[in-house]
Amino acid sequence: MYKESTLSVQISSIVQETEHVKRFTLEIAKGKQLPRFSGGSHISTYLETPKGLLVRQYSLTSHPDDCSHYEIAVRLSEASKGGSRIWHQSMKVGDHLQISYPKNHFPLSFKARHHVFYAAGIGITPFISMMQELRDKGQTFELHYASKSKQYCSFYEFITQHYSEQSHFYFSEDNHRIPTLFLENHLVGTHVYFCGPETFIEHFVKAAKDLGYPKKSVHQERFSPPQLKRVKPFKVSLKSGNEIWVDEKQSMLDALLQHGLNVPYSCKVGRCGTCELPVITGDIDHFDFFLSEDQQNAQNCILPCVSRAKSDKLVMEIK
Amino acid sequence: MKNKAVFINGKRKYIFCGDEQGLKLLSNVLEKGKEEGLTYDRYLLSDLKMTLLQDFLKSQKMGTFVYLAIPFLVLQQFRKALEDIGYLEEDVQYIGYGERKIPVFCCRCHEINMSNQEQNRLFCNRCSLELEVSDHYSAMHNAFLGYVAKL
Repeated sequence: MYKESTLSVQISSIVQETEHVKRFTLEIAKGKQLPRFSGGSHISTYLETPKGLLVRQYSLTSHPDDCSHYEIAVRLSEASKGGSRIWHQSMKVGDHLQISYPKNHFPLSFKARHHVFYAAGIGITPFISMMQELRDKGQTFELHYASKSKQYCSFYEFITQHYSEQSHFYFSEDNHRIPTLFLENHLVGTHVYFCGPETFIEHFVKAAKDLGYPKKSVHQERFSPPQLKRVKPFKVSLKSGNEIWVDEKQSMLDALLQHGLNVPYSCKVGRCGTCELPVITGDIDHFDFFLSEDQQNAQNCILPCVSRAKSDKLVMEIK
Repeated sequence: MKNKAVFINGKRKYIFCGDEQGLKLLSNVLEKGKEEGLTYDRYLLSDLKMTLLQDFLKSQKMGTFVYLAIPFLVLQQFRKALEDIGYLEEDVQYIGYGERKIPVFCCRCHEINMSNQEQNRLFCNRCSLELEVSDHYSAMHNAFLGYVAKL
């Protein structure tokens, strides 16, 4: 299995943030410092399980300049395939684990004159470090944060304590939701950032596009790959002559990894480009958010974590 | 920076801005906007000063697209002002006319010199070094690199 270089950390505290969210503090060995990171960064966590290594990505919620520890917040997912369940039910203070160096696929734009964050649910996490960074730099921002209720609203106290003037909460239990209409009021120079469930992101990205926002002013962070409406199986033909079958239920990346190919990967949601592979022939259905329109139209590379074949077969430039 | 405006679809509002000559260069895209019933403002920049235009452009909302048509000689300073407001490259079409000067970065003293478009060689205004204009453009300095002409 592909594994990047990692840091060895220990869990030093666990806080029950809300009923479904726990906050974990991770520390490196005494006397050592963790690398500084930029607002919006995340880490991959490597969990040893009887079924093998589980890799999960979480946004860093600690202060970007504080190198004494990292903090992540994990929501217990109902559809958990193991990751969040292990974090919630098995991980204890004192446990050791490996984490990646911080990575950032959701950085703050240095061209923005004003930043507006739209968060839903656990989608708040990347914005915690982004707000800290902006406040240190003296830049303006606002936060619109949707949650089920105050009780289920992660970081509610932290946000109201530190960013009360910039923050607005919308609790669905009170029939209060964030209207996309807000996008109509942002002045030129504003950059908008969306994080939350896929439908939430899609809804806001579409509204911004319809208003004519330039692509570079619209930023999004996804925790899951896009939900594809029509998925069909296909074959991947390798340079070695081997053929790998990709069924409807698995990603092309998972199929390649299962067959022992050492394909590098990271985000698994089509954002980072780590898993990009060259394609010789075949029609590609691109679902990533990484390649440019021109690169996608060229039909000569694929991000197998989310993209698939339109044709029955893809011939790949890999052994 | 272009010589001719090209219509861009899908924006909530368009601003057609220029001096008298510049607005003539925008007539094709202005007509297209009118035909399609789009929301637009026409802004005559009679004195070629940025102050009033700056306030007007600052008050616009996201999704606004600007066509700016003015002499090449002043286009760059307007571009800088628009970028400072927060307009991205994708938000604006810069249309120039008239004499065009090329900024040339002196490789020795880092002075930015203005050269005529057809001029291949020039002497740096500050250090007097003879420079050969290269095709190496720096977005950071908004200038072409001037190499030592005679070694």
